[in-house]
Amino acid sequence: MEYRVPINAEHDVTRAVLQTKRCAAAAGFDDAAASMLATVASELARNIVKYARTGEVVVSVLDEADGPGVQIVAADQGPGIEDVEQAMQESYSSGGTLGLGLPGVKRMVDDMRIDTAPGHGTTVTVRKILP
Amino acid sequence: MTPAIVHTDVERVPLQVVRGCVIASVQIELGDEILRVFQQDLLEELRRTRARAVILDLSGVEILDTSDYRSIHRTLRMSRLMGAEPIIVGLRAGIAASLAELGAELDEVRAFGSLAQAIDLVDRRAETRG
Repeated sequence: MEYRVPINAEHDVTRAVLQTKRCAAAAGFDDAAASMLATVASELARNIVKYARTGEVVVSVLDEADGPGVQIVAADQGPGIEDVEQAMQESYSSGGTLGLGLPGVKRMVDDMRIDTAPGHGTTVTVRKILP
Repeated sequence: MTPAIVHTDVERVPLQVVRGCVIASVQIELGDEILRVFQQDLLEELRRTRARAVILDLSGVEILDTSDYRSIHRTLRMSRLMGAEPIIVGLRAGIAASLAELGAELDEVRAFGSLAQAIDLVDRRAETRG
C-alpha cells in the first residue's frame, strides 16, 4: 500500500494526514498511534507548504521484512536546510518563532533521515515500526 | 445599510453561551483559515457576552499539529486578556501524546476530560466569588 500526495497548498496537508491514517490502520497501529503518525505527516507536509511551497508526501505500509510499520517520505525542491544539526535542536527556528518541529517529529518515530543541501531541496524519511 | 461581514467560504467553529461560558465545539478538521476566523468570532463573542470562561471542546478533532496548536494557544491567551479563562476539554489520547512529544507550550491553559467537569469548575469559581 502506497499513497503519493502532491503538496501544493494547505488542503493537501489534510490529504497527507488522511492517507497516513489509512496506512497506519492497515499496518495495525491503534488509534492513538495512528493519530501520532498522522500528526508527523501533518508537520512534514506543512513544512513543505511553508518553506518550499510545493513537494510530495509518499506514505507506505512497510511489509513484514521491514516492519510491519509505516514509512513517510516528505520531499521538496525548496531552499534546503542550511544546518541540519541546528534544525534538530529544540529551540531552533528559521522562520520567525515557528521552527521546523523536527526534534518533536523525531521523538514520535523510530527512525528519521534527512537528506538536504542548501538550494537542493529536502527529503525527510521517517519510519515507525509496529510495537 | 452596511452588510455584515460574512465568510461564506470558510467552515466555522460554532459558539454557544452556557451559564456565562462561551463553549466552542470543534467538529471539523482545523486549518489556518478556519482558525483565523475562529479567533475573530471568539473574541467578538467574548466582547459581546463578557463571558468568564472559554471552553474549547476538541473531542471532535482527530489531528492537531504544532501549527494548529500555536494558533489555538494564541487565541486562548487573547481570551484570557479579555477576562475569560481558557479551558480545553476532550483532547484525544493521540493528540495529547503528540502535543507533549512536539514540545507544545501547555502552560496557561487548563484541560479537562469532559465538558461537564469544565463547567463545574467555572460554576464553583463563580460561587466562591459570590
